[in-house]
Amino acid sequence: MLRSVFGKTVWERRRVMVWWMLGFVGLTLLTVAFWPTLRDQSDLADFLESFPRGLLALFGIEDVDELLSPAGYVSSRLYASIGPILLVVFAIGVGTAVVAGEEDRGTMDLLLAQPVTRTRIVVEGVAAMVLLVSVLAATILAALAVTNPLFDLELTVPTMLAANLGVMLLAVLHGTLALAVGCVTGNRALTLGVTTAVVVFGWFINGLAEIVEQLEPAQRVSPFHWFLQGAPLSRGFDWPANGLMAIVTAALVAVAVWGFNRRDVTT
Amino acid sequence: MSSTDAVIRTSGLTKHYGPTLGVADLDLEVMRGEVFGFIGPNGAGKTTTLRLLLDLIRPTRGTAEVLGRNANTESLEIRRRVGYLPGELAMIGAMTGDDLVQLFGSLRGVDATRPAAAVAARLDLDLSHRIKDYSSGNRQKLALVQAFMHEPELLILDEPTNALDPLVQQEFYRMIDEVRSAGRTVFLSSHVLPEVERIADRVGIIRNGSLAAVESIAALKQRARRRIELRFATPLTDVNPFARVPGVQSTAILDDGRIAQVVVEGSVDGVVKTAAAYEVVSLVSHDGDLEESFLSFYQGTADAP
Repeated sequence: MLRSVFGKTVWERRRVMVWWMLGFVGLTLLTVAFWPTLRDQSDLADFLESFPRGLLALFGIEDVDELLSPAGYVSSRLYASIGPILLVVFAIGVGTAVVAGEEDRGTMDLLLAQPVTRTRIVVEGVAAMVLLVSVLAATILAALAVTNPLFDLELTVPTMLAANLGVMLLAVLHGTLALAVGCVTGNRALTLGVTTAVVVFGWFINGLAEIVEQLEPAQRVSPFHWFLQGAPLSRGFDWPANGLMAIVTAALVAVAVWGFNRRDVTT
Repeated sequence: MSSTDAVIRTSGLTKHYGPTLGVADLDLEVMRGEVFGFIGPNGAGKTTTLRLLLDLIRPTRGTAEVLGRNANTESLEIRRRVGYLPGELAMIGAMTGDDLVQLFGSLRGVDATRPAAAVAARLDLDLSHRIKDYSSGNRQKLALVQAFMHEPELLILDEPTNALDPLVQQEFYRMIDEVRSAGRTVFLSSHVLPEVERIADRVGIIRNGSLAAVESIAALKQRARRRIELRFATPLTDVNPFARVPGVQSTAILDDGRIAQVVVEGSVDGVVKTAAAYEVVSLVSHDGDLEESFLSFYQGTADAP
């Protein structure tokens, strides 16, 4: 495996990946296992309706009726709350490590003493991130596909694929943002700070815009909004949203390449 | 030597780090087949210069050519043909020595397993352990392994004997001698003067980011000063027979003429022949190395207005 920057990036995470996969399997099972209980709560709809709509929105619930459908429930619990956040955090970890983390550890000098272009380090780092995030998204997909008939979720294969493709693109977008900030600044702490701020902003603006109407223009710049607005687990592939996330990711890769090539390697 | 034989050539190479100076107007030539020692105190700009040659950092002004290629625009080709040992050494702790050899060999497009094993054996390094379990000496050895394993035309080594024990240092010196015998080139930095004297053909002295002098080791040895103390069986009859000997810088006669302390630059032949006229009980010579001539050089530069 240790034959390229791509291989090295994957190799360094081969052990921790097992734990992440177990975590996502556990999260999926836990989410799905509560569906029968929730479904049988006949007065839950009235109870939820008593809450302000905005409060529910912050918990990923945009429509109470939708929550009480299996797709709506799984989407709000798994794809609109902790699930994407965890996957985004993982991708940011990889994106930060590829350049800024390598410099922070002081290992970049030796790597760049080999005949490897900086562009190649960035591109192979992104490729490795896409692979690793895809493995985790596929883990969620597999866990969901297995439990789908067991708990009568009535999810279809296209919608499950759509939701996992969307969450993968969302995570890769944020991971590439971390890579790009790291490439421009060469500063690991700054990279984590800036990227976390973007995630927190994107996450809360998406939720708050459901309460505060004036925030709706701001909501449109939130990648979480792009991912969730089309309700992929209910309605299937949202190609305009997927395309937008892919284009922004590609632009961030270009920024990363430019940023790393133009500056001094930090020590 | 014609300038076409230059393996490294910098002209006006300058690097500023914000307000602090890295290196200034460095004009340096390292010839094919020589071992060039780059010497100076810590913080003088040695590492900065080496990192400029590897395109790890970019010059504020000036240019550098390595193996006839532009250090910035043609760095990939340069790095293919160069072995580099960084000064501030850090490696991925989770890897074993073998892992690192495999990765860097693959990035170079060569199977480096056997040559790397040969270098590791010479340095007495076990490649099967994890890097995080290595001592700093073993990490330095592994860094040497990856610099030497593809038999590069040019070795750029930043403080290569850092953390190496004396026996391994001797082996390293032999490796450098072999590289020179094979017509390959070494550019190494050091702050250890006897080391450079032992292995280098020429030496460049860097101080506060500027190249203070470039000299051959032979010429420096010519200028090297020695302090010689002679004890005589009977007091000297002449008041001070050594004062008139060529090359003698200063003399002192002690113990009523039984002891003579002489500081001589270059050859000690005149002093020995003069002393032979008397019965010499003992002769002690201090500082055959470059330390003193270097220090006097530094002193001169420091005192200059």
